[in-house]
Amino acid sequence: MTTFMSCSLCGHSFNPAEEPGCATCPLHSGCNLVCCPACGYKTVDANRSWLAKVASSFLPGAYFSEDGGLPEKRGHRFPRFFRRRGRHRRWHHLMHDRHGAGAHLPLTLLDVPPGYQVKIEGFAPDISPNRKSQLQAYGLVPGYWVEVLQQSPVTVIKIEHSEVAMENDLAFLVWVTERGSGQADV
Amino acid sequence: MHPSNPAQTGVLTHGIALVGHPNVGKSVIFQRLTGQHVTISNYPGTTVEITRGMAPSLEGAILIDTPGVFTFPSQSEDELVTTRVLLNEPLQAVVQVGDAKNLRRSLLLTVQLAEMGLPLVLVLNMMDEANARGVVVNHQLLAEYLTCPVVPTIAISGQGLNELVEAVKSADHPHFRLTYSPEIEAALAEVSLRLPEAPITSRSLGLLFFSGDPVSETWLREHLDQRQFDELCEIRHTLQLSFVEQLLSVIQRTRLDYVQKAAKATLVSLGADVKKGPFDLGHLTTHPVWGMFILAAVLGAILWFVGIFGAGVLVNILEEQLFYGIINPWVIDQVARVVPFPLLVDFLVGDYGQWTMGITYAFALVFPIVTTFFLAFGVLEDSGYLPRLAALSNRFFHAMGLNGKAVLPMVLGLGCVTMATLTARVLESKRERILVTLLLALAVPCSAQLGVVLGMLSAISLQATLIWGVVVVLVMLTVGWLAAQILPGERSSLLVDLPPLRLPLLSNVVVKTLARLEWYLKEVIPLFLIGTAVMFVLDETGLLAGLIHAGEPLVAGWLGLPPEASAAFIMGFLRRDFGASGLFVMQSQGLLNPVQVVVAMTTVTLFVPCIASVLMIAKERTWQIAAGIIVIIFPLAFLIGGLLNRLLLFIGWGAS
Repeated sequence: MTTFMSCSLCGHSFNPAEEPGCATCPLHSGCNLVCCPACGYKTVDANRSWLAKVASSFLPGAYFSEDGGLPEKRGHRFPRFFRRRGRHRRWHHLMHDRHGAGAHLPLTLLDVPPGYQVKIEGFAPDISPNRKSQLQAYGLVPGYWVEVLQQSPVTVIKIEHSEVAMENDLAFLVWVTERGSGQADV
Repeated sequence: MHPSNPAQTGVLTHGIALVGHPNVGKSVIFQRLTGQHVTISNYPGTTVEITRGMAPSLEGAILIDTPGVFTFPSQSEDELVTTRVLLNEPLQAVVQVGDAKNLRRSLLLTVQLAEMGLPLVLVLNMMDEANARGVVVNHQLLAEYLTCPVVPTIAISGQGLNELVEAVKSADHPHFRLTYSPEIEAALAEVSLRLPEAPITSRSLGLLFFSGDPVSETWLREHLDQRQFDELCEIRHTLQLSFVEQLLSVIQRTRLDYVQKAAKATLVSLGADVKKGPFDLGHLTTHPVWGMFILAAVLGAILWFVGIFGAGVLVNILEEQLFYGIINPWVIDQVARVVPFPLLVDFLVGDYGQWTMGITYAFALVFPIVTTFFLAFGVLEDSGYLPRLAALSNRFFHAMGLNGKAVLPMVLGLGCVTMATLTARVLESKRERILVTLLLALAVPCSAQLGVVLGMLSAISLQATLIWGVVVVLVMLTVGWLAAQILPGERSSLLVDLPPLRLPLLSNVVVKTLARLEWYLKEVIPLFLIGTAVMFVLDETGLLAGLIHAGEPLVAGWLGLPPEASAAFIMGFLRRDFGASGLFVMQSQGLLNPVQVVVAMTTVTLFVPCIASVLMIAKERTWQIAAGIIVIIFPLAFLIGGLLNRLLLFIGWGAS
């Protein structure tokens, strides 16, 4: 993932991971700072700070700067270690994971980290018809694209121009697929 | 209103129903069309509020504002009423209010309403928000798809309402017809011969019945004999056998396909998000950390407005200065002069007199509290914060077998338990409504009581307040958890729409508050008078003194309080804070030590709520449930109080 940051002094845009300056620096180990290759000004590379990453989860929207820090989330496949499971089923799936067999399980709305868009595929077979009709009335219709806004304390998704909050257990019953190529369906 | 004029009565019996999702501006449109002439009343047979008002621009037709509904068949008590309105009221037209920026979602409901065959107008409201996001809808084409007029409006500024009035006047029955799978079509043809005459088309009634809608089932039971109804059930059963999926899902899929097609053709532009700053208040309210701070601020503001401004300042002005200072001495004087019988004088203006207790309490004590409460509630309702609060607090209520929607009655309970019992109807299952009612009656102190309790406890120490708080919350969690295990049925997961936060429209809040106050005056004040009469009879017959005497061993022995305190508990049943006030007087006379204050306050908080809320529980749920709740709470409150007394004495708290 290429993440660029811009120097706050001279505005030069560079990739902190590729800067050779750090590798030759004797104070490199454990250092969170990065020097601008153009002017030499030291800036904080938030991506290297554990504390900054933790704090960013408390500061919604204030994820580092647009071009430094966290990867651009939309339009990319999301990392698999984000997989979360419903309250009752966590153990069940861990068991599968131990055998390396969990991969074939359907991707659910609960597995999607905030900021990503997914397409609704369908519903788990054990969902009650009333619940299903209710979810569809809220706009969770197979074929529609939704964006996950948050997963804790509840799953909040954005459908068209409205937001819907649902419990994690319910999000677990909604099957989704990731954005591949192409635009959102109308 | 002259019943002899047939034209006028004809108009008056025909209503226009406003139907739509929650938070799409139904009430704003309602208020714009009706002005000030509104009445809020419970829908017959339910406790769900229905607002009706005469619309002058529509030749005096009665406009009915129905509870928000997402789809049929609906889930909560609130939503079921909407179906009942459609099935039972003689309607001249139905106006669906939809959200212009969420077209697909609105259309699913439109399709179902159009199938019903009542004259229909679709309002695409909040066009300003849609325009800001760049959503463009070809509404002429949409009208062709739905065979009903489509009117874009911005209700908040009154734009498009004249067009709406014209469209409603000329609205015609839509000839909308979706073709379902051949099996369903065959079954529909079969049931249409057996269905009785209904306000909606037999086709849509049949579809509602196939979808398992409880309201249409009840309606059919009322209009058919047992044999005919069984035949219908048989047809539905046979039809279900031809599908793997539930019928509801099959029917819904056909509708969704059509909605998808119509939306694809008529949505000229999907629009994009409005760019928000990093600190978007809407998102912060559901954030696990910041949401809590916002919640604390909102709760603090409400408690200040209702608890301190309403229950403190306003009550002081009305009760102390106006009633006790000016009105009551004059009334007592007049009654004593005019009425010859001492018993009747006592009944009217004695210690438990209709005027001195019933009317004084209703107008001087409770009226200012409910007025501020209704105002605060109206602002909260219209701001769109409540669903976000439900999302935020979901985890806390999970432990008690409830979902986040229960936060509404619980928080409102801090204002007034009687009012909060009413709002339990937003919950989806009967089990949840009973659970919330129990917890409200048990552990949530109302603002009037809370003021006295906190005043007394903080006079001792912060520690005392904390002990009280921890014990009450622990009891609530334990009882909630236990009751959730015992009560049959499944906990339902939270699913709630989060509307954008908006600044409430002041006129809308004021009109709503006034309409609710009218309801309060009509329904609650008689309860006060009855309660006072009961106390009067108990007092006159000597039963009250007997009850106080009988309670002494419990109060003095088990709770370790002075015997006089038992009178406070009896009074506490009439009004919750009344009991606490009695103890307050005792504390200021130096009759209670710190342990006794903490024990007394905990017991009074957990004790049975006031008579008004018990009557409300009985009215909302049933007498059996009200009785059951009292039977659980009464011993429990004393058990916890006694145990706390023993524990505090054992660890030697407050001895120094």
